[in-house]
Amino acid sequence: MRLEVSGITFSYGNRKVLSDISLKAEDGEIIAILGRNGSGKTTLMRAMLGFLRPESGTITIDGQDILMMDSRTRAKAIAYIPQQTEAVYPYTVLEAVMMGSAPTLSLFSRPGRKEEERALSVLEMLGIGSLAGRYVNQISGGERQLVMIARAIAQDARILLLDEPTSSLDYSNQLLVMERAGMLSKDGYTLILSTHDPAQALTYATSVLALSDGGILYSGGPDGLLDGKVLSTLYGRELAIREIETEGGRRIVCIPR
Amino acid sequence: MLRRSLFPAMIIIYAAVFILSFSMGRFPVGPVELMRILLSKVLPIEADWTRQAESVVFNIRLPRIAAASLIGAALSLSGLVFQMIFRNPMVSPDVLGTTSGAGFGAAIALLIHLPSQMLPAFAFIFGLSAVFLAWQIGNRVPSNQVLGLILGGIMISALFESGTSFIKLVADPNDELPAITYFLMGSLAGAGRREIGIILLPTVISALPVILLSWRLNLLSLPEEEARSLGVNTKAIRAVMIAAASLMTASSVAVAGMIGWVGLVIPHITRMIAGPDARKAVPASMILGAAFLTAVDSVARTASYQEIPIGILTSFIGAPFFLYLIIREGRRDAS
Repeated sequence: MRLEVSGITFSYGNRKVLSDISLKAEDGEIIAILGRNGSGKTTLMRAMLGFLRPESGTITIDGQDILMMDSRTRAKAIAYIPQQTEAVYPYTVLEAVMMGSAPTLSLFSRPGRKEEERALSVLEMLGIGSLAGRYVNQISGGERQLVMIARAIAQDARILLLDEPTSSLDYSNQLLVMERAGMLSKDGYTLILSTHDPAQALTYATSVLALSDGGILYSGGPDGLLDGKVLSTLYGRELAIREIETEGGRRIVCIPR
Repeated sequence: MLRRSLFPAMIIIYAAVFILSFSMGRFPVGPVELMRILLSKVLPIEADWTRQAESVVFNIRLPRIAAASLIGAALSLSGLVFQMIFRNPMVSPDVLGTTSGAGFGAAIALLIHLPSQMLPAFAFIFGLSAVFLAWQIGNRVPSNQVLGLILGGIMISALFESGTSFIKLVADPNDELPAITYFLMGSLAGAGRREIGIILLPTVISALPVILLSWRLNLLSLPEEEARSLGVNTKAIRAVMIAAASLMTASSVAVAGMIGWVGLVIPHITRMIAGPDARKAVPASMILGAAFLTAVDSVARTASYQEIPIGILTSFIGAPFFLYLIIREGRRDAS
């Protein structure tokens, strides 16, 4: 599936939040959106989910305007994985993942054996099959994030939008989530994630979009950021980038000067 | 295994409460005699009981137990619905102002001597307005909607209760005032066949969409944007649910006055037993609510020489339970 954001602009009242933003995402890509707080990352995500109507520009999936799609069709194309939220009611992992079948079911139908099997196989695929019977408030933050990803996959969506997926996770859970994300992109899923961690973006992303005051500061491959200039401008701090080759592949660290 | 035997166990509990409550009262009817009397309407059983016993069963106790069951189920279900759609386990028809609003509507109807069929309509209109206003106030506190909704509900409740006090002030102290006061205290003493008629249809009409859409209720208990990203039409389903829950509360108020706490306490107990999945919690809350209010009403009519208004008893049980919930939630947040 191909997601294309073409020149969208959006304002809250008089304040322009997004200005002429464009983005293309193909199957198997991981696109990282970088930017400081208030730079427009969340607004861009909400626009891609069809929650906001841009003042100008369009967002299409396989050429079809997302605002013209009905909400179920859109949900079967693009899924949202929110930041960590506290579960108000402690559903089991299986119940939570089966909620992903909502867009595939008609209004009055409920998930049955087929949806349950699908949810279990998605959990297995993500390596968390053993959690099916546990309660979502009794598993680790990283596992909960994987459950949210499992729900998105159960939704049949091929484009996954992850809002700061690792921001509240400890380091090992950050690695767990990002490694699974990498695995999904190899399976052809498109992942678009916002992050506050430039090293994470440079390590895992195939493409980076850096936003500053609602405009594009940089758009392109991660290699274009290795000289540190864009990131230094973005964060207002002198940053040096170092590449480290490891057995698991290239790792990148950002060092403030 | 535990979950599988859940519904049979609940139905047995309800059946036990149902039979037991017939045998409580100044004219006790034993279980065997009761079954024979009830079945004599459909099976050829020879009547070896007094006409008085039959009259007590069919004209006095059955309508009252049926009313208590229906109202218990309706209040409990409306509490569960509110708690799920507002993602807030601390709300209920009382907290959101629905009960006070409906009480205010009923008081107006009594004050201006409207025909009795208009009373439920007034209760519904004001009950619905109250929850709508509380919801709008909650939306204006986006940083803490849970608290905003509760405070909005408390404010709206206070407003409608003041309105009711004002109505009492201007009511004729000889006939209107006692009628309004006793009505609002919450009692099933007047429950007869006519009252069953008032409560039955609105409860069935309201419970039906809730039962049919019970799995969608789970989705509404997710944060708004998550639910929408799953392709759920949150606005439409939430509107249907608010109307259904308000109608159930209002028709209960129209029949039995203000019976508090059931809509808060029973959904909590339901989730403790059946889990949060609404596919199980919806029917479970109805059965438990019916059993609870039938049991409490049996106590209300038999505990003392003079009947105790049921609203007083549900408060005695509900308030300490609410305290327990607050402390439990506080401990969980601290851990």
